[in-house]
Amino acid sequence: MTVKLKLQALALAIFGLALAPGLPMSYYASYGRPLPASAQRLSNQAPDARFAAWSLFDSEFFRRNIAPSEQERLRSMMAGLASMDPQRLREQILSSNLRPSKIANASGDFPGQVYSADFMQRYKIRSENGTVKASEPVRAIMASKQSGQEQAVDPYALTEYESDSIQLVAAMQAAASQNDPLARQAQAWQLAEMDRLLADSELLEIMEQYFPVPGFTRGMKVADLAHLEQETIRADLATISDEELSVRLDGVAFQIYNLSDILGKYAGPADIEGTPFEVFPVLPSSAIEGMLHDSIQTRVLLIDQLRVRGLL
Amino acid sequence: MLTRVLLSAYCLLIPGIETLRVLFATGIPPMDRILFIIFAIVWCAAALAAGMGTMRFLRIFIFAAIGYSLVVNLSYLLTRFDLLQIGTCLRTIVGCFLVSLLYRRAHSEVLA
Repeated sequence: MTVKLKLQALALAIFGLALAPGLPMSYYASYGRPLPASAQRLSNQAPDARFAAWSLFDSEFFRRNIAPSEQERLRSMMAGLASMDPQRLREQILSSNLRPSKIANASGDFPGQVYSADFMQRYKIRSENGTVKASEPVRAIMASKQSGQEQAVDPYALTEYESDSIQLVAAMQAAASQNDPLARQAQAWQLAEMDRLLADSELLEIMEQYFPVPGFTRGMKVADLAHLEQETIRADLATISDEELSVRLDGVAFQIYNLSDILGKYAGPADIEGTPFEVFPVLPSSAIEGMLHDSIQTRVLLIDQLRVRGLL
Repeated sequence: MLTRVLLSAYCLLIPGIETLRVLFATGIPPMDRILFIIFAIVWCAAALAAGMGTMRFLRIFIFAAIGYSLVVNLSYLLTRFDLLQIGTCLRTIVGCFLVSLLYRRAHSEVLA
């Protein structure tokens, strides 16, 4: 066999291997690649972020930007988690989610003792499972910020729509022990984490590619995103259907409930000094207050619209 | 005879190459995918027929494998017409053409 013939055979073999018949790559696409590092970090937070995710599912931009089939799939997944019995769910949260390396105390123990009655009393943390009413400080904050026509609206005089939605969420949270102080503090921490993630260019690239949010620009903080969402909810109020209006009202009610609950149980940096919570960087309460106030403004507009239409 | 051995080896390599390709692209072997399983079975059957079967069996299995690959690729091309899909489809057409050339050579060797 001459060298030329060998080379020809080799070229043919390479050609044959490179052009071997195959199946379309899109058939395998649902396998997906391994998650990028930042998406992994986000997914590590998933279990105790699930109620934040519920709020997200009910948000306007989620409904507008995610395909209906995907929305349905995510909702079923979350419903599966929510159907776990509270003890099992709690064990899962404690074992898999709170990243003991970050929140362990000096001796390396997991701070289960934060649930003690002493702790609750010391930090005046409210834990009335299933209740909707915000803490007195939160009510005072809102009362001081209301002005003009808004004063006539009691943020906690719930409409029928809101009442049903909030009772549902509150019941679920109570069932899943989400109303305890650690869970609420963890939510304040998650908001701070989101602020940090919004500076993660790798994650932003994914977000921009798969979940583009109209109006979002790099450099925005969580509070800016929340404001963006409020503006989306406030848009076209006069022309949307009654059903759409009620859906938006539900979403805003969730936001007000969650934010005020975080604030009601929020322990500021001075309060958590010397406790295991100290290692959590939390979003400043002023930022959460701002987001809450923004949601209340939206709610006022939605209620006004209900009144204009004679639905209230 | 050499052509039939080559044809058999090539047909056997095809599912292997596909597995490696998917493994590199997604990081997960495609063993639980039904279309891939059928793909692997038809090409392995063609390899077996090329190695041991009569020309009649070889013809049936080779064209079953080629037909299956082309039909799957073309049906995906109809649902999603993009460059990646076109590329895969062209690659499959050329690959199947190579297989058919080897088959024709094997066939003419038998006739000779």
